[in-house]
Amino acid sequence: MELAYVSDFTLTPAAALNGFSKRFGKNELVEQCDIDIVSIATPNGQHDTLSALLKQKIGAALPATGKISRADDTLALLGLQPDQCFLVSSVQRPDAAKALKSLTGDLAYLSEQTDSWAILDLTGPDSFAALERICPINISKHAFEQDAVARTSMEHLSVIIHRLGDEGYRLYSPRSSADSFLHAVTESLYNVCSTTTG
Amino acid sequence: MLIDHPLLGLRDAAEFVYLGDASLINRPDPESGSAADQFYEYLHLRSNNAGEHRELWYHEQGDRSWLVVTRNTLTHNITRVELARDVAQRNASGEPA
Repeated sequence: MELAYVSDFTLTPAAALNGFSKRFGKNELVEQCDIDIVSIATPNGQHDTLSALLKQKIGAALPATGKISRADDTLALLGLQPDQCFLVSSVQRPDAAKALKSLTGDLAYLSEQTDSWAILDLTGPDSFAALERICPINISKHAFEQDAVARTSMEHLSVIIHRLGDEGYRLYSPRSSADSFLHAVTESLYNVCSTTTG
Repeated sequence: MLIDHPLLGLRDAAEFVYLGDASLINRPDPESGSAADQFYEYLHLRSNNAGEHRELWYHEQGDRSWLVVTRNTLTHNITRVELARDVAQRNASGEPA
């Protein structure tokens, strides 16, 4: 019998920003490449039922708009708008939406968002100063607390932002405009750091 | 200009897109016998108030909700902001706006 030989290969997803990582003075801007994202939309009138189910199955109930509901250090729900949130998980699994679908059944509308977003963690003493120049909402420590999340825009690009501790933020922006977004953030960081270091 | 979003607080007007008169929520019944006349009025007739005006704004660069904003067209002063879904439900149940 003739054998057909096919290359045995494994596909590896490419990061939106090629794993960008750079220091700006005392600050660090690092792309996050290992985060699963699933969009969860609530069918009309099913909010309470879905919320109770998620609390039971994954340990986090549906968050209010603008708030984060955390299950543990690896999984959280970001309340982005009425009847819609993002599940973000640092424990990657193939087909995250399918895995969640096996838990929620028809109680939620799910869509896979992993690899559709460029995710950047900005940490350091100048993170607030750099972002307040390009972000139209108040992200100071007192107005934008640890469990707050917002969808807004920076340099005309859509951004989801939430806080990482006292001196840090996580930023999500669409993958299709990832390079432009990175340019906006790095320019602001460069401007702030060159001011603070003289 | 800042819009006091009912869920999110003050947000810059640049995050929003303006649609028009809030009466656009009240779409006529296409099965009605006078549907043609009602749709003509719905599409083309608007009052042009010098003063208080209720209008639809979409929070595109935010939580994607539709809002009914009550704004004074002479001063741009915003006196009331509601979720359009709440207004629509109120209209459907026959409560006053």
